Amino acid sequence: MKLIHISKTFFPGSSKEVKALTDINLTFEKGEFTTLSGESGSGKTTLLNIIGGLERPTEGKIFFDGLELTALSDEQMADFRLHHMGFIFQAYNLISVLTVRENIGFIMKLLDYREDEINNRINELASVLQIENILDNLPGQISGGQQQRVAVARAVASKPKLILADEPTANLDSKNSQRLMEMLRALNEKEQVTVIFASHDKYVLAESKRTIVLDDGAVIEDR
Amino acid sequence: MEFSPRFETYVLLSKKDKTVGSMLGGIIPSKESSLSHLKHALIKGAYLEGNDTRAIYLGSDLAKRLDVDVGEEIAMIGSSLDYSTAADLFTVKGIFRTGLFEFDSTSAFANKAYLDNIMMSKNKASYFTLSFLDNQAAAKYVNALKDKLPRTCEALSWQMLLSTLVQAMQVDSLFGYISISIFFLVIFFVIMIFSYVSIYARTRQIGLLRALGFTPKDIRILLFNEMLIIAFFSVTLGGIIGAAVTYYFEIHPLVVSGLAETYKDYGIISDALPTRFDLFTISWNALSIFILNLTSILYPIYKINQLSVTEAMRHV
Amino acid sequence: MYKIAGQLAWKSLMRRKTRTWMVITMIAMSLSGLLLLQGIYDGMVSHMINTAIRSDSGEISLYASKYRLEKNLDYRIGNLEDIKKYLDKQNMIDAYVIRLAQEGLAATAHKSLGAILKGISLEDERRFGNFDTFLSQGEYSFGDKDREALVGFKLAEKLKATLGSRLIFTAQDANGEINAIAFRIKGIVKTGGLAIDEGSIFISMEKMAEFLSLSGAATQIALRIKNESKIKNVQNALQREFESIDVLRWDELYPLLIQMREMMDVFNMVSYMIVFTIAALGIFGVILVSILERVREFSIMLAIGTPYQNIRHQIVTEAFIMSLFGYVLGAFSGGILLLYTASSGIDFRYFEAGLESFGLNAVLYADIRGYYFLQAFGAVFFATLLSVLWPLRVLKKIKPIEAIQGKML
Ligand SMILES: Nc1ncnc2c1ncn2[C@@H]1O[C@H](COP(=O)(O)OP(=O)(O)O)[C@@H](O)[C@H]1O
Ligand SMILES: [Mg+2]
Repeated sequence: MKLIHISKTFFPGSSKEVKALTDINLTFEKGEFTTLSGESGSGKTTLLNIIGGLERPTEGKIFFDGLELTALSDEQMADFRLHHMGFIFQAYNLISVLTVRENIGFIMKLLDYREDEINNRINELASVLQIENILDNLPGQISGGQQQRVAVARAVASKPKLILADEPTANLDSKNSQRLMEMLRALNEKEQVTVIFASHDKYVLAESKRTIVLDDGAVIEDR
Repeated sequence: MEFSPRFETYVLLSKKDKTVGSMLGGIIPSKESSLSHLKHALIKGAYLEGNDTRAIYLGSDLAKRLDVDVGEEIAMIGSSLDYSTAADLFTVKGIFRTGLFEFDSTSAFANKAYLDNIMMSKNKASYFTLSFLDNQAAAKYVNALKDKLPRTCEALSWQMLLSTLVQAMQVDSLFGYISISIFFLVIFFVIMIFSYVSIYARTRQIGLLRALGFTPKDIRILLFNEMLIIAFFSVTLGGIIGAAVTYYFEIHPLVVSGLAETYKDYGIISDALPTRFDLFTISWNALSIFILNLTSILYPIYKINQLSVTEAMRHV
Repeated sequence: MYKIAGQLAWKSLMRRKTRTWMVITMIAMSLSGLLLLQGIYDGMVSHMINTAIRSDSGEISLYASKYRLEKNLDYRIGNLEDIKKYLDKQNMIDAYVIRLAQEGLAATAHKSLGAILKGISLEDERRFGNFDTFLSQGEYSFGDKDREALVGFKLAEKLKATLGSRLIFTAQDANGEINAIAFRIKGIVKTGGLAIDEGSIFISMEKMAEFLSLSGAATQIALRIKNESKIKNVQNALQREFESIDVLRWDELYPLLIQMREMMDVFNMVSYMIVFTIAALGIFGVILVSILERVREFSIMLAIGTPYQNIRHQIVTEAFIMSLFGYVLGAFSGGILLLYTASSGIDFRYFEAGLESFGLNAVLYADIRGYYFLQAFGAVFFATLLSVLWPLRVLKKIKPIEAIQGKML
């Protein structure tokens, strides 16, 4: 995936103008496990949103396997997300009326997977993420760490090409953060899925192969 | 208060080969004119006078049925008070129209002084009509009269005399009540739903208050007082708007053209739908809604107090 | 995809049971109330129509032309035998009666009032419209030698006459002479129809003919035609056969009843509109709030790629599931109420006299018609549609980005 000259300005031309991102150029390879790091307000979330197509850049283009994402309509982008991207947010990821099992299978269902395929996949992920015993609980009945693991399971369930995660460990204690990262890492290796994080959590940084540091909307380090 | 004696009997009136049954009233023309609208209903000829003899004052539709006009003669056959047959010839002096079809097609009037002679009803009256400026006084007076009058007489207020009309009004309101109660039922539910939803939106806040030491009773009082204030203002506002609308329609009634024509048999004589500005009805309705309002929140309050503190705090 | 939306809708409703039940109960209760109201109103009008047909007009009545205007014996039906012969041949006509009426003065020793004297055959009237069922006091008979009469109850009341009282009736006969006839009251009838209750006296046809010096004549011939679709045909055929006679259907004779029926329809429509506009407000409140409190959830669903239509479908389904349950419950309980009221009636004794003035009994029976339930369904459907319009606009404004922005968390 390629990001070319990406810039984002909120309220351009007005007195409230904010330059969130300026001229970002990045390339992500298949199977990468990358962390976007930087202080609060440095532009991590904005960049993730633009990659995920939730927000449009003011300038620049994004290519994914040769397809120009920035040229897609909102609807085409939504469809693209459904088929090729997984999301994990900071908190409240789950659909409250669905059980853990249904939450994990939700996207697969939208994609018309067969029932047995979905069940196999859920069981497989549940054992990796150690959530077998809560599969029939509702999100309100499990802890925050478990909720985030379920969110991971849902994000990877349909085997997307890219997973975007915005501070998935922000609301977790250190032990839970560490476990979540280990599991994500394992999935990344096993399924060769590209993962991009936004985080300044040390456990996340420790697990990642590549760290991109942002400051005031610009890349200041890439290692 | 005004009063006038009336003598009333039923007679056959005929002209040539046409015979029609009709009420014939003996009235004192001068007194009656201040009491009822008989004099103003005149459309042709003249109203009766105190020294009239063989003059008759006919309803317009009755005149049509008899095919007579002012100045023509008609025969009257009836039974007088001594059960003998009374018969006489009358000249049509005037024709009236009140707009009440039933009345206009079956009523005729003559000077009581003259009629008394042929009906042997001198110093007798079928009844006295009394008119009061306000309806409340009438009811009181009826009661007072009941005590004073001899056994053979009865005093009746217009409600009793026109009992069918009054009861017809009651039936009308029966249907009104049925409809209104369905309206109130659905309003009750709507208010309940809204208050339930708005109270539940604050579940976490209420959980917090409970955690800080509020008892369920405190919560109940708090929510109830809130509703009291909201209900008071909304009902006052609604009452004022409703009153204004009713007042407007009282002054500018709705007009449905053709109404009078269609319902002339029911005595409706104008195309305008009269609307009454009645403070009592308005306040009564407002009060009902107010009470409805308060009762509709009892259940939502009960439901929220069923939650434990931790449940409330964790509510999403 | 719709299956998922449906499941989500169902689960969301189950999650918020109290709210869901409130909406369902609201719809069900207002619906059964409205159904009952409609049934009673229609039942009232049908009852009045039925009474008018049975006691007076039949489905079709024949009058000499001008009679109804002049009410004069000069305008009578003379060629009675021809007509009878014709009527007997028609198999569409289930029964018919011949009546001879004259207006006049009815008097007791105390009082005199205008009334109509009608010559009828009790046996024919019984076959025609079960006239005997209208008898409220006394016997359904004219006594031996036909010297007695049946009287409308209001008229008897006004004349202060009771069973056995003597009445004198004075009227003009066929020759223009004023005649009087005397008889005793054998029975009192109460039909609910004003014309009969307040002003009619019935004696035998033979006595009437004798009193009016007029035989082989009638003022009215009323026919029963049970097959409703054939009424117009029979009317046209009769009119063609007897050109000098007015052949009128009951709805032409009682236009007021038809108007009343129309008025009731309008009234019912207005009631439905008011009630379901208010009910729509209730559904609207629940749907709107359920969207507002799930903005975060919906935006996450949108962010992970759930199509917008899917969520819209979920909301609409939630609204319609509630309405459908409300409808089924309301139609069911309303149907039971109607069935009960149709067979046992509702007693409005307190309003009896008032109802009488409308030609009704104290116990009102409801009508049940299939279209009530269709109409009710339409009302619920439109109320639901109305109630989701605004919430769907709110939904449309939700952007997936909001899921990630701090303000939502
Ligand atoms: N929707 C928005 N409207 C206006 N300014 C925004 C918006 N989103 C982000 N910003 C601004 O853009 C900058 C980058 O924010 P963000 O990407 O959220 O940083 P981070 O996620 O690294 O904390 C900040 O200055 C923030 O105030
Ligand atoms: Mg951020």
